[in-house]
Amino acid sequence: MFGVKKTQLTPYIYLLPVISILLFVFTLGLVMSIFQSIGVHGDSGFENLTVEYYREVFRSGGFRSGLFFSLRVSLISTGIAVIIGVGLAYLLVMQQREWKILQILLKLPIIVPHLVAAFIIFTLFSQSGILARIGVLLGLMEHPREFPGLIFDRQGVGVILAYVWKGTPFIFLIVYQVLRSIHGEMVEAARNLGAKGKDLFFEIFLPLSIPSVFSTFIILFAFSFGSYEIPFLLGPTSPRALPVLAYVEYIHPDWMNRPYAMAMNMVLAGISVFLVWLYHWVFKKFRRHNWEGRSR
Amino acid sequence: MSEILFDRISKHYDKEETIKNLTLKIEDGEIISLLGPSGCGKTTTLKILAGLVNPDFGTVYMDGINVNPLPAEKRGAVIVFQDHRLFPHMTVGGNIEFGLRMQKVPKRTRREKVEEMLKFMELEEHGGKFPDQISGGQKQRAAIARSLIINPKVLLLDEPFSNLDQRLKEEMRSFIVEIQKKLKITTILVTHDKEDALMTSKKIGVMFQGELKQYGTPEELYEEPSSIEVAKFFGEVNEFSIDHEDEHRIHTYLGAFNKTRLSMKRGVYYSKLLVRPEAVEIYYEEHSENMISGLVMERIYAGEKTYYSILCGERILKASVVGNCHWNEGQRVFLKIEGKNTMLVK
Repeated sequence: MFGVKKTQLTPYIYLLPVISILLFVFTLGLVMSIFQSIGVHGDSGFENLTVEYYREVFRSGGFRSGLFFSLRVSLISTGIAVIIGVGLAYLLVMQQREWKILQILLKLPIIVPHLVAAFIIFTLFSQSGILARIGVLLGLMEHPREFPGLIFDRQGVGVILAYVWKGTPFIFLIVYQVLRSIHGEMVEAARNLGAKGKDLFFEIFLPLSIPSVFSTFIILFAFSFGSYEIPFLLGPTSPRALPVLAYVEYIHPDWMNRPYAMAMNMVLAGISVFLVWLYHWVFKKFRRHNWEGRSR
Repeated sequence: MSEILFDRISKHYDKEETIKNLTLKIEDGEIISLLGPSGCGKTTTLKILAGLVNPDFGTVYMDGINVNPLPAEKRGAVIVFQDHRLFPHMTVGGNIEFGLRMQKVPKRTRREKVEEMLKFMELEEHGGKFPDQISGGQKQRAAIARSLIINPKVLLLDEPFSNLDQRLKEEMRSFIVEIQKKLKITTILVTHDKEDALMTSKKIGVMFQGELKQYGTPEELYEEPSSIEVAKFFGEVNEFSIDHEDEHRIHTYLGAFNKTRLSMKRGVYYSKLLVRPEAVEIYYEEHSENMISGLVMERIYAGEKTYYSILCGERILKASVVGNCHWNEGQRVFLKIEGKNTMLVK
């Protein structure tokens, strides 16, 4: 009996050093952030417990516009990435060819770091960028500054472009595999019963790939929402994306600004927890749509 | 209902010939089986008929019309897949209704037909359930119902009993035979199990490595197999080379057999004589001519039958006797084989 228990525990024992370090750092960071956001900091101890920092944060116009900006940019970029990724995956699956080179090209953005992605978008889309110069060369405009200001703009177009460029391949990779397995078996069964064209897409492909599409949507949305580098490098100074706002408050020379930064971080963390719950809910809700294929 | 003709059909996959020059005619309203081991091209044959796979060569005719150019949805040949392939996100009723929706049948008619079909298939209580909430047998019925509701010309059943336990298998066999009789729909059943084929079909096509080796009634296949492969597929055989033949008799290791007692066709050169274990008669004493002496090497009692391995000279002969027989291991016995109970193959 002891032997069985030992065998069951073995993997956990092996992982214990890594898990304990990770848990320690994560838990310590989280607990400290929570404490600081409710006024426990410096030498004051637990005497001045307050939710005032949260109230202040929610009352602040900068926070509200930052929150709205982050939500909007994340939603739009993720939505576009999902539409392009799913569309590409569907087209490739229906072609029934491997398209190996195209697949490699589509995977490239995944391995490119976000900082490099921001640099690429800047080089391409800024008013001094490659596209603006090509526009001048082609005689479409007289001066590069006539090129629309897509970088650092209040709508966050540059940020959206970077997220779409990075996120589309991720969606494609996951959905493509799911659609391929659906194509093999379920589509054959549906065609056999008279389905064709858009019926196949709306009756079979789409419902059966919903869990994958939703879950990748949520993962990508959560990442874009909480990510800091790209909005910091390509986003406007006003409104600022929420993670950028929290960072600015965090590095503020005035120590008393720290609780505001932590309150913002807690809001970000709360939204992330909600997204994790949503992810599980989607899987539970659409468990019957979760087609993973069978061995053939 | 439809008459089917596969005319010299060939199909390759990755340079390998999956179907070799298949020619087969199935009469209107008939139920037949395609029998053979896995990978012999049976399922591909069904998919070619259903329009899910195109042949590399040859033509498929339905009621005399070449259906090669027709897409799957216009053929009226529907497959019930081995793994059912019920859509997991639709209820049983939704699955059954699917084909009608694809045909743009009005909602009210669809509902009525689904209700009727649920009743016909004894699935009334399960229409609102999802496929993961019903048993294997019910899934099988739902898959058949989904195919039948669109009034197909041909019903194609791909290994319909392979995922069922013995009791359910027997139940489903008679269920399918009953449905086929009621609807008189041309039905092709694909199976690797000879019992499934024998119990359901009037005619059976035996396939090996993409070739249709023999097509005939169960009796023809069992009693007059065209090759050793076919003979072995329907049960164990004792195989003997024909040493030589004269005007009246053929001579084998077992002795000479009078030609008039054998089912020989003129102009055909036979190389082997086959004897099924049940055709070997076992006696205590030698009471007639041409009996062979043997030594019982092994006796296996298996309820309905008792199986024997008997050493005759240098060869082991397999024999089986109905019921419990008491020749024991090490006992000397005498064997008799009637010429009419033997089979000759090329």
